[in-house]
Amino acid sequence: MVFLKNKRWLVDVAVFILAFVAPWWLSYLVALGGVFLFRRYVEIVILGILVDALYSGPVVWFGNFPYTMTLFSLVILMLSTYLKPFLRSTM
Amino acid sequence: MRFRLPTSNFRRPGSGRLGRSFRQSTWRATLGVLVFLIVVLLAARFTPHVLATPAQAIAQPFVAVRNAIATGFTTTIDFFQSKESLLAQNAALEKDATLYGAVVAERDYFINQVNELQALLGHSSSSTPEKFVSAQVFSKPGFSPYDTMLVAAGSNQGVATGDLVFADPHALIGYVSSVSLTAATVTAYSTPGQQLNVLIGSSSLEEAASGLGGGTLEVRLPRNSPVAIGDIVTAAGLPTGSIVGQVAVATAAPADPYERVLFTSPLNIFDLSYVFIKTNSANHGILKK
Repeated sequence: MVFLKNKRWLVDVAVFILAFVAPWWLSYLVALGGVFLFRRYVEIVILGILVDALYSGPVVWFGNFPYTMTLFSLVILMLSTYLKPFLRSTM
Repeated sequence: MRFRLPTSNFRRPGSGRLGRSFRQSTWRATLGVLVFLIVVLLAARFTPHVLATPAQAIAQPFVAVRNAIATGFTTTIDFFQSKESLLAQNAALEKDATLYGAVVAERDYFINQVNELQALLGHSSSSTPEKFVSAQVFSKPGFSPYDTMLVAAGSNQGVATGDLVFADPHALIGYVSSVSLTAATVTAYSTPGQQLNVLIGSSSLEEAASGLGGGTLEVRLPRNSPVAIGDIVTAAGLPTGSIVGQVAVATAAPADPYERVLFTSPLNIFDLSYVFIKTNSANHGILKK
């Protein structure tokens, strides 16, 4: 994973190609790696928007809100923004 | 030699000079998130599928390459299969084809009979012309977090939101939940939370079936209802012959006055390469809600 530290573009390309050709959770798994490796990995929110644009359908438990994955990605980004400094200071 | 504990450099975010910078950056991030949230909520309210057309257009070449690679891989595996196993497979498939041919012929016979009876009684199925549009399945339900399918037929071929989607011309599987210029998103009735009115076997009573996910739907019926494993389930409210599934399980707990009937689609929705969309079929009103 360390060799990817300065290769954000490579992770971005992998995330967005996987979003089109693989199950959604696979691209999210790689994007989560990006969240841990890079500072403010906003690409995960762009991935959420893309997944919603491609697949969004009626979700009964969210009142048919069409941007569920976008909000999910935003929550992950916020958690990483607020929690990562605490995690780093203990390393 | 001075010994330093590794914890001597510890500084919590939120204190000192570093803390001020941390507070400023988190404040900016929070503001950015709030602005973004407002934009998302407004988009969800006024243009829920505004990005579907460009996203699906970008996806199509990627999916075409993926499908070509998958086909090539399958062909290579087939090449290395032994002659004996292929012969056995061929014999089994021929047997299945004969069986299915007989079933389809029987079904078509009954459909024609029903159509003739409806014509005699003066029932017309629809005032607008309906036709089937075949569409390649780009992404199967497992690819989507919403249990939806992405298919290659859009508004340029007359597909509209609410149109019924069939696995073959008589096996109803779902409906078009959103449509762009060249693609459409299909929601299966088996998706959790979806409901559909159905008729089970020879019963004329409409029952509400609920999706459980994975191609399975559930109906709760009074105990000792005349339901048998293998009974055909059809969609209520459609003219004729729209099969939704076949009863797979019927169970009842000893203290429960109802029995739970599970049925699955006649074709596996995770294995479909093509679907058929019935255009101008959005007003049948077979959804319970």
